[in-house]
Amino acid sequence: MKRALLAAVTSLGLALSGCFVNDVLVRNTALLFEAPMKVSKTDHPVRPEARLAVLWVGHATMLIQMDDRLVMTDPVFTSSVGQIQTRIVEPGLEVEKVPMLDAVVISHMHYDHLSLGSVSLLERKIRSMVMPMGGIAYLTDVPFPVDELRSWQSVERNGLRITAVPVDHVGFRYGIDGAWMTTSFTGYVIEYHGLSVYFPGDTAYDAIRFAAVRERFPNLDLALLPIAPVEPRSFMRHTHLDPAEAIQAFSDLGAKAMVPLHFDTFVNGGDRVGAAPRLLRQAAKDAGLSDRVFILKQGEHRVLISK
Amino acid sequence: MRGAGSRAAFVSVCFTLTVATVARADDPPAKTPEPSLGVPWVLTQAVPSPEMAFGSEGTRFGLRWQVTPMLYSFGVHRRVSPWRFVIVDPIARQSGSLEWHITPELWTTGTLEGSLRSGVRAYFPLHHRGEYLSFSLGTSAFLFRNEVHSSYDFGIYAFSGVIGLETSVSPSSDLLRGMVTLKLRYF
Repeated sequence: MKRALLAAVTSLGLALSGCFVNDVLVRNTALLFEAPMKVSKTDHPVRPEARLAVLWVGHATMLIQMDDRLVMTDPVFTSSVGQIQTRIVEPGLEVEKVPMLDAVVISHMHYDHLSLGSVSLLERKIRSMVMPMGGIAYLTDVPFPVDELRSWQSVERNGLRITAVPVDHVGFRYGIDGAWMTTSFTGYVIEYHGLSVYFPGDTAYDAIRFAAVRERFPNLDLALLPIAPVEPRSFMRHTHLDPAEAIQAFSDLGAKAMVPLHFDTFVNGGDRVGAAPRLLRQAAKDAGLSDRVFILKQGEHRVLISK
Repeated sequence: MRGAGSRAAFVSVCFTLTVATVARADDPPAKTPEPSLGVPWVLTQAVPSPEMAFGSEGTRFGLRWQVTPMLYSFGVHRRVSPWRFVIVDPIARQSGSLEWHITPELWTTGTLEGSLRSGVRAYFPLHHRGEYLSFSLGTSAFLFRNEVHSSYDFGIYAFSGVIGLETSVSPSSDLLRGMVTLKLRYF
């Protein structure tokens, strides 16, 4: 009996060795049981001297300051997403230190972008939320106003203008709901006082969509672009930019600066920690854009335009 | 006396649901998911939940399936319809809801035997609006060996309700007095 069990386990191990599943499981199992890495965090997430500043909380969560307005993208402050993907780096900002947010934008329904636990944590600090069309079905009830936008539709609150822009991704949360959740993913351009920031959430590379955004928003000050998961590329390329594609997208958009996100925060695809930013540095160098690409650490606060 | 109690409970449930529906009418409605009865959904519903029952004839192993003809969600956003029929998105159920279920069961006791259960169950969110953790309380009536019995259940669920553990007691049934079900449920 014991021998049969051993044979079965060995066969399974051999069958899986070298394949993606094995790669991800073996490499990431240890991470599941480790405490998230500590990061230095600011107590003052609002910079009075800034016209445009960003603070990377981690993954796709960015606190954007545009003069006196604050916007947060896809807020995730929980220790895991979907109870499966564990956090490997602490959030770069304590929930208690999050200031009142004029708007929160949600790009799509995946657990690492729409975190209902995080929405609960921030509920009293959110003045309004913007979601893709159909997304409100998965939000549950919240006390703040929520706008759903179709591609190219805009909403304006307190001078902040948020426009939904098309991206190449998916709108499901649970899997089979992809058959009917066909509109619940989007990117955004956020405008205030002549400043504009592009945030696509997750997207595959699509030159036509990036060109369309550039045509309507020719003076983007900042592009927040996801650069991972990179591997396995044959699978991820249908839904996610890799670092080289992100640099190409940055170029296509014609933005003045780029800050990468969506890497090295949760166990993410088959990527090794540090691989995506390393590839990004190389791609930016090859494209001659190194001086306009700012790779932040979780918790790092960067003023991009001063008063 | 029991009939009067049931009528009162029925009227109060109808009143609550009506008031809740009217209250939602103040906000502009949003698009409610329009799920389709595709092959993947049917396949996921075919996955049974294993269970064990304890009674006077000992322990028996069983499998159960669930159909949800109707569910009222009090957890979904006020601009989304709270009603779901047959296909129920996990968040609508786990964020807080009241469902009417029909549950066929198969039991092994040397030969295969069936039972049919129907009842109402309320779900309450505990953590992450019910996606990480929720619990349920329910009551049902079931038909087994030509006898109808009542049953009371308690369940606890994780992973958006995909996995749960449900226990139930049927004081009037000798054969299926206590039950434990590993609930596997996807939509």
